[in-house]
Amino acid sequence: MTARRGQVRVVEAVLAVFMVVAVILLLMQFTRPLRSVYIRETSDLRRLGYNLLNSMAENNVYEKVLGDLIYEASRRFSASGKCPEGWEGNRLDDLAFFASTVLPQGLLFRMDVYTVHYDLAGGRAVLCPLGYAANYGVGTNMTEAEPIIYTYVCTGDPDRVRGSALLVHLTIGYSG
Amino acid sequence: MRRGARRGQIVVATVLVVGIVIMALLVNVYQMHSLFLRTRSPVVREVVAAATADFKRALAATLALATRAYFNYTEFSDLTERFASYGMSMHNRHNFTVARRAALTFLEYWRRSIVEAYGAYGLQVSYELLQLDLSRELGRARSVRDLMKGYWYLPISGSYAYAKLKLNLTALGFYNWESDVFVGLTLVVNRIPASVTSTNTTIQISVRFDGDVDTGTYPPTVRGYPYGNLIARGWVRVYYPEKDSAGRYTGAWKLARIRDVSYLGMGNYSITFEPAVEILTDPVTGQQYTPLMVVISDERGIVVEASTYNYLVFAIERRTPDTLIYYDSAGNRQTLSRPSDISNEVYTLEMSANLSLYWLGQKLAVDPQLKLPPFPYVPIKQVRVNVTLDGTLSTLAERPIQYENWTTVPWRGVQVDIPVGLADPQMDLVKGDKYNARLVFQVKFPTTSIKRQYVVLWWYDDLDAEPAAYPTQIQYIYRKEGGQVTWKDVRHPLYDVEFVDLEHQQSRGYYDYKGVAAFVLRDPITDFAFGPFNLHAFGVYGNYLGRYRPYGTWQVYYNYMRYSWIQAPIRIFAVLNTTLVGNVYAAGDVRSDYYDTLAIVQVVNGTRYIPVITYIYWKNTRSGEGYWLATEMGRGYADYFAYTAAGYQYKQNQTFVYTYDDVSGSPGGVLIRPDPGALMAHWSSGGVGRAVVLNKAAVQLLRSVGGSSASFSSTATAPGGQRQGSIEADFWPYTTSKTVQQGTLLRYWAVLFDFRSSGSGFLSLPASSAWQNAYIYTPMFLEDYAPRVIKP
Repeated sequence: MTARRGQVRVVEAVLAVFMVVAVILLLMQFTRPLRSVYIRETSDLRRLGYNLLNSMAENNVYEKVLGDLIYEASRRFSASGKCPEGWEGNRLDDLAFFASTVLPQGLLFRMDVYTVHYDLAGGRAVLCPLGYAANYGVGTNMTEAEPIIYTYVCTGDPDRVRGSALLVHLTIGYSG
Repeated sequence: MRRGARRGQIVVATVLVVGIVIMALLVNVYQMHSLFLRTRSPVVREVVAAATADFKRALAATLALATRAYFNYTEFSDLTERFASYGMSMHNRHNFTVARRAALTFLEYWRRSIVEAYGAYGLQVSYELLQLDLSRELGRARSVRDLMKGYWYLPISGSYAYAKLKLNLTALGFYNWESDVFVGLTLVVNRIPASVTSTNTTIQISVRFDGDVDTGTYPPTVRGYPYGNLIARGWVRVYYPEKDSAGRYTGAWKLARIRDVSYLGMGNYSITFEPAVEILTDPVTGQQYTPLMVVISDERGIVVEASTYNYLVFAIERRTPDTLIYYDSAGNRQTLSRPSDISNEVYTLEMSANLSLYWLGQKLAVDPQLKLPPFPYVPIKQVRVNVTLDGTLSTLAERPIQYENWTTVPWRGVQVDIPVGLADPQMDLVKGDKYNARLVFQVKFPTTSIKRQYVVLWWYDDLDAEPAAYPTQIQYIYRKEGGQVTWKDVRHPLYDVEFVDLEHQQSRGYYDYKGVAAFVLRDPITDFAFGPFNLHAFGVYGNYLGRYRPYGTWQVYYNYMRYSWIQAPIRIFAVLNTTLVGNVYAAGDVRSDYYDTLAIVQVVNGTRYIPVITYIYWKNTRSGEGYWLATEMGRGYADYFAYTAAGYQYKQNQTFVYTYDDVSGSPGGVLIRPDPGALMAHWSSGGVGRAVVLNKAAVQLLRSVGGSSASFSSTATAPGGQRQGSIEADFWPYTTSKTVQQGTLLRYWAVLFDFRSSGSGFLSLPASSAWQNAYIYTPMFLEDYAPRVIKP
């Protein structure tokens, strides 16, 4: 009888410990920080990226910096119905310079810019690369990178680019 | 019992543990969901904002395209021509419907591309075209619908686009987002300048853009934000009216030299420019204004054009006498009072873009006190006319208006105004170097008590305005049967005018004209041909009179370019421009070495007259028996004939009346009488008559070319022996042979006038005196009695 009582006590003690642990676990669920560093940095990066792109849009940076390229790409597409070849390798240094001055130190970015041609004859929208702007080169790794898509219809001067549509693919992150 | 109690404790403890574990799991699930929401929310917010902002930019770009094309397609061709494939061509620059269609096409492609771009988020985009009330913005009842609207040319003007954007992000569980997207630019120009110095003018304008859409009302309303970037990122232009050396406005605009633009805050600007512009007074309202046009653009390229005034106003003064003098055949002075009802005194006037007004091709005298500023840079289709009926503003109402395109060309050494068709209503109403649009309208003087009528030419502010279409009783009928043109007629309630020419040689049931260009007056109901009006004729062909007559093809203008369903509401005109003469009596007898002819015939709605403006140029010296300025045949219809004397051999307006017996009893069956004057008439004993009124120039030409041989004549029979009974104005009759010299240039007009012996607008007269009902309207077709344009 005494041995059996001892067994029950042991089981009760185990259960009690289990209960305490479970309660502690439950309390931990409520007391754990809701936003991890990862989440915070992810949302901040996105917000930063959109802020950058919006800021450039509001100041007609795309027209001013890329106007000639946009016009030339449109002209070539209108003439041949094809995208200019090899333009994906164009370095858009002016754009990179503008972005670098706006973004905080330590952030890396790459901005790929495309013109969106509305091909009425083919009933399609065609993407043609204009080039890219980046503040890092080959061999640099980006960690916690965030991709951001942005579309932009040019509204600013000059007239030859007004009404042109752009697609900007921005990747922004930390150097790792 | 004790053992059972302990077992119960274990069960309870187990349940508690399991419950706590399940609760912990639930909290975990909640936490994961919360984490998911927190990680996706920045994307939703930013993607929605980015898509909405881009939609707004797309709207702005399409509005910029539409308004820039509308204002000046060529100046902004870097933009406009890139959208030619969307239909936004030079040809359609003043077609807001096309601009709207181009915008919708652009937005559809934008929609597709953005859906692809944000495909990872499951973006779905659509937009709805709704109505937005602009009355708070413009101060008058206007709204945006069908995506975009422009309200220009008034002191408060604007360009606007509005749509409701709807989007879902299905991959992020975000649905039914709606956003009112509105872009706009409003310009308010003060009508009176802030100051005018000897060299400068300073005006104030207010500019607003976009604005918050108030959805608390239906339809939603908007009020724009003050626009402060006009100097830094937009532009402004001021145009002032050009003056000639005499200080009269020419109809053209000049770009002012802006000396200073100052921002006064809250969207208000002060603009100082050269030169000093005079302040005018609206004669109707008494309000002062400076005639200016202001054009602005914001940094998005949206353009607005505003004018400081919204109409031109003047009055037309009738100058015809209500008591007329004539002399009977015995030379006794007679007076003739017009009836109080003179409802046939209807003037069909033309106003050119160069601000000149015309009646029967002659420029009307304008009161020097009248300051008529130019029309703004407005497409022709916007323009309308209001005219009074009783000389008071109470009857000022919209009346039919017709738009025509005229040009001034050198013709045989002189400058000649000729129509080149009805105008393209979408073209600008601007003073041109070569072509000038003319606005044609009618001014009626229904009673003798009315001496002047107000005319207000105004313009619609809506860029979607269509050209004016009005019911009309004149109709052009062109028909081919069996490969032959059988109808080339203009139908009028009083007569059917059949144009015979090279392509329509055989007048129906009447003569084959063998390519000679003339027009035959026919009964509009029975189609009975009364005979032709011959423009000109020279020489004889055997025993037949009038050998060489103008030969060619009439060009008939009766509808508008691209608005072919709108018939000419006021007049249909036919133009003959030929270097050939032909012979109605012998096919193939066509010559190019006699005279050139330019003739303009007008069939006018709501009137009894047909003006025929004629230019003749003799290329060689020719001699011949008989030379006719114009003849109107009668086909036996007329029983009486009359003409008034020019005053060279008889008293001026001494009138002679003859019967058909007088004509048929004349030598050779041709009555020939000297000293023809302004009026020739023939009519039936039933009191139906037609007159030909010659202007002063024609009467003088009869004398200067024909000398004392100039005569009125009437031929009793046609070549086939049928009864004819014509009225003819001869430089010299067929019984005389004379010579016309090379280089002789004739410019004159003749007006066919349909009259009755009684009825509305006429005196009640016995048959033998019915000519008096033509005589009481004769002055209105003479140069000396042309109406005047005066200040109201």
